[in-house]
Amino acid sequence: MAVQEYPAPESISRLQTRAFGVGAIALLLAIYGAVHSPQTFFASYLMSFLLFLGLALGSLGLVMLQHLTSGHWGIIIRRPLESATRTLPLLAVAFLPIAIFGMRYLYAGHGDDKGWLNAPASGEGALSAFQKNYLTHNGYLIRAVIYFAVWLALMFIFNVLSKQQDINRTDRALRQRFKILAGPGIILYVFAMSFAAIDWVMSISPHWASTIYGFIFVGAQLISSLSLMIAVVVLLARSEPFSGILQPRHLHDLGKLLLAFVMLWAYFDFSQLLIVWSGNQPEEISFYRTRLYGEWGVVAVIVVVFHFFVPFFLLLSQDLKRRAQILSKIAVWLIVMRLVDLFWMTRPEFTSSAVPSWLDLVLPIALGGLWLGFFAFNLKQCPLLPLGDPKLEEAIEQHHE
Amino acid sequence: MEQHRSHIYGVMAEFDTPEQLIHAVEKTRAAGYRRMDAYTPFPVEGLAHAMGLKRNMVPFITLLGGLFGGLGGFGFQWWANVVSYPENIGGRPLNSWPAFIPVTFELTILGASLCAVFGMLALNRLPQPHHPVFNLKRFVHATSDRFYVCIEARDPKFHIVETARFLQGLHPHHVSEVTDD
Amino acid sequence: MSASQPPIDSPEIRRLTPVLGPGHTFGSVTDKISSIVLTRPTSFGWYIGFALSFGFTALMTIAIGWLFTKGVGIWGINIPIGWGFAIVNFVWWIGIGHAGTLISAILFLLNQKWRTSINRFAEAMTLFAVACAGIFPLIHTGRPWMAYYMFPYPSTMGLWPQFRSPLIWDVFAVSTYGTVSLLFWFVGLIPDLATLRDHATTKSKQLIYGMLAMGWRGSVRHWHRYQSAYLLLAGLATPLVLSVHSVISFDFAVGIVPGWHTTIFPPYFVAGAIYSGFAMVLSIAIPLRKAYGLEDFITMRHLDNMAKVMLATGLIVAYGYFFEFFLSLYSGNKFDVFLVQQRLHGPYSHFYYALILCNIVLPQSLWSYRLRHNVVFLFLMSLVVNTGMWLERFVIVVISLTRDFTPSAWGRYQPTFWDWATFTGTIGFFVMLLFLFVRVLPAISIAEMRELVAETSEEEK
Repeated sequence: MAVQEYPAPESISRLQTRAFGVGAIALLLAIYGAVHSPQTFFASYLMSFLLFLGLALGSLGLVMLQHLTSGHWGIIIRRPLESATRTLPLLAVAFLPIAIFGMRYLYAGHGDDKGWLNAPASGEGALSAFQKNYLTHNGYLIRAVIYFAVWLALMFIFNVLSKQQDINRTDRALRQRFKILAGPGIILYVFAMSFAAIDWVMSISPHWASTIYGFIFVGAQLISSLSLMIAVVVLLARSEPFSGILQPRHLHDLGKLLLAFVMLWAYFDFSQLLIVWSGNQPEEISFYRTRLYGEWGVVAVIVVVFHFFVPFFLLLSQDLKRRAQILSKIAVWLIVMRLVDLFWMTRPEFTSSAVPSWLDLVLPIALGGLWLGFFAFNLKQCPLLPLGDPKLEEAIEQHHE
Repeated sequence: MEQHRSHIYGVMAEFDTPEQLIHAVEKTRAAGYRRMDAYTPFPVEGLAHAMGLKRNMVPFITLLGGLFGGLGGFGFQWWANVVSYPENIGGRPLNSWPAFIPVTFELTILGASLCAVFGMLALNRLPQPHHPVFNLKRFVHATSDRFYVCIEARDPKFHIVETARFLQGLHPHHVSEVTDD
Repeated sequence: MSASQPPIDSPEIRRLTPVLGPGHTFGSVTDKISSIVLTRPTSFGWYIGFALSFGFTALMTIAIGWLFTKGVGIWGINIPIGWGFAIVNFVWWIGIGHAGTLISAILFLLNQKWRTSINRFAEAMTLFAVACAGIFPLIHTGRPWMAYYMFPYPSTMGLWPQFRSPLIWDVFAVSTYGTVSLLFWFVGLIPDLATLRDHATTKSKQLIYGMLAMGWRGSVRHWHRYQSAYLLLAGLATPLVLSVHSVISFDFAVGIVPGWHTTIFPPYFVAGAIYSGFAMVLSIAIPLRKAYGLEDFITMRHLDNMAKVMLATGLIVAYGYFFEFFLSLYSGNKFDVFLVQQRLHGPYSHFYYALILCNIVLPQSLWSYRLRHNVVFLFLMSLVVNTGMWLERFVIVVISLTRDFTPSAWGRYQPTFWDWATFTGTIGFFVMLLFLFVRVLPAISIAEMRELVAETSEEEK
């Protein structure tokens, strides 16, 4: 199959080379860090891994949402979304260091607080009866395999169908199959992600549990991947063929959706805070005791102001949403803030100091470089627009405004 | 002449479809008329643009209402619990800001919504029970299936015969004079 | 299932299930919808229905009158179950209201054309449901004539309401919700009231509709600001509707009662509210379109979409049930684990199983295209979901309160005749208001239907 329409511009190849280059250098530095201080390395690695997993999985969620709602916003970004989902194999590989070397640094607690890997069998700090069977070394690994299997299967299905649609452009049955699969697909994604969030992050402190945790992760993943998509379409629109396609109304729609996701995420996070804070139960409030005071309190304020208030007020404006340069800057900013938020979510479990280590800079660059390079590579594999989508013409039609 | 104009409000042309109306409005503006209005049974896309209408003040008023509701709401709760009647309830801090957020949020929405609706009505000068266009018997169709454009007598270019002839030239369904009382 | 089902976006499906029947003009939609209010004689069925619902409304007023005379002791509430039916019904009614706002606001923002013919009566439903909901906390206070205590007013004692309490958040949330819903509904009605004024056949109708229309004349300048205001209201109502049921969930969740204190409550309550709300829209829309011959306006496409929304929100509710259950076991908190056992095996377990059946199991049938297109089945399913969501609130309120931390504080709850009388009375009140509404106001937005005619005629070209 050689579909020559709407090829990725040269800039994407340049992005790929540079990203791989920067990523490779940063990775070498990071490996040095891993040998030198593995504890810090894995805390930082988990954070970076979650950010890029979020970009891929959020994109998977958005692809399926797009198929369910078939809005014009989604048709424009469908190919970049699909390219982002195709980075999932890389992320599965990137999970291996955690599975092989990292578990004992992440889930064995620090100091007097024991993690679930080395919790005492009874007495203070013992796991619940259910956790004793659930949070086990093998259980953790088996479940991780299941999560990745689910996500990879979904990725595979939606990408293969999409390719078929490029070839059989008039095949309306494909459109229907997308729609039928997207519903159950979203359910699988959300459930697997909720369990993964419990396994990989929440279980770091096994005595703390929150039922909204999965939603917080899903909401955050949607923010980060939509932000990436906005940045990518603005980048693509700098050159042919996308420059003639992207219109202010598309950015406006994407901006509105981003605003909605930011609000949704803030709503989930605030709900958790308000309920835990009001209940003030000893086993629950510990989460906020460590995160809202002292150095971590400063990080919390940064997250609230720069992850919510600033983007929120900027995105309220109709003008700013329609201006490519500004909207893409907000989007990139939100991805950076996602990293800060993940830092605030995960790191207080390992250290009381909110000062980031050099690895917190190097590891996101290392994983990010490799991820972005792979993403750029994926982007070149298909036409930049889903040519078989029955609504494509409508979606890219020029409106005079 | 002045005497004559005082009881003529304008000349109204009636059209069958929104497209004809938009076309007529564009022509009317191109002919140099400015004091005019169009009446439609539903918001016609592109008509505001054809009339040369720019942004309106409603979003700004709404923003002010929202800010007033939100800041006022939080400020009031803070004042009531910290300054006016400080009391230790369940060991919670006097400034229990997480607990003040829900009411702050509700009042933001309330302030913004009230300002959106009443701001819109005020800018539209509604309620206004009487208006000269209602003097026209046929105007009842303006809320059903006909589309009107009215060139008003206060337009400097207005001339009762010329303007009527001009509107006639746009092939309307009907052209009528609108009287003031 | 795919063999029997034509592709979703094919032209023939569009023709089979449009959002508007074929052949309508600006005039025909105006006449058809306004004639229901203006010229059509009141049918015998309407009188029967109105009389029946009026009877239940009378029952409600008697029950409330008796309550005011005797006090809340006539209800089944006791210590420890202080909340009982009043709160169950309050949450149920508010939830039902949410679909109305959702249809009018969110679907408007998403530019979903299919909302047009159902938004008006869905908004009316919201208002009436909020009215029914508001009755319960008010009469549950015991001294409703002191209800103004809940508002911040400069009292001689220098007191202010306790803003740290979710019950005060409720007052603000529900009153804001009522106000904004009323504004939204009224703003949407203004152009239609002008239509009714201009089509009125009697002087009195002309006068009343004329006063309500406030002199609306359809000026393009007015429409310009009107559209801004309507869009902004939709944008404001969307987060509002999420906040209202979240605040109601805080009534439960900020306390530490087992089964109430869990962080998933806000989104899961919101989803549940939309779930039951859409079920109620279906329960009303299906008989309404039949009785007034509105099949061209409320088409199969509407019913199908609403069924899909029900399915989606029902799954979010299922997610909530599941993670509440799972994380209770995970955390191993003995009170939470005990509560799970009580739900599964306790004295009220049959309610729990009925709720799972009504909210989770049976609605999965909506995955089937054929069942979604069976009007009778959909109607029955909407009743099932409404029942299920009522049971959910009953389970949340009653099981948690009857099985507190110490066995000495355990209790049982048995609703009395007066509980049932008030509850069924509000259903009657709700239906009665709907009967009045369809007789005096256009049940479908005429102005927006004209817009739809304009758009569909453009598409045909």
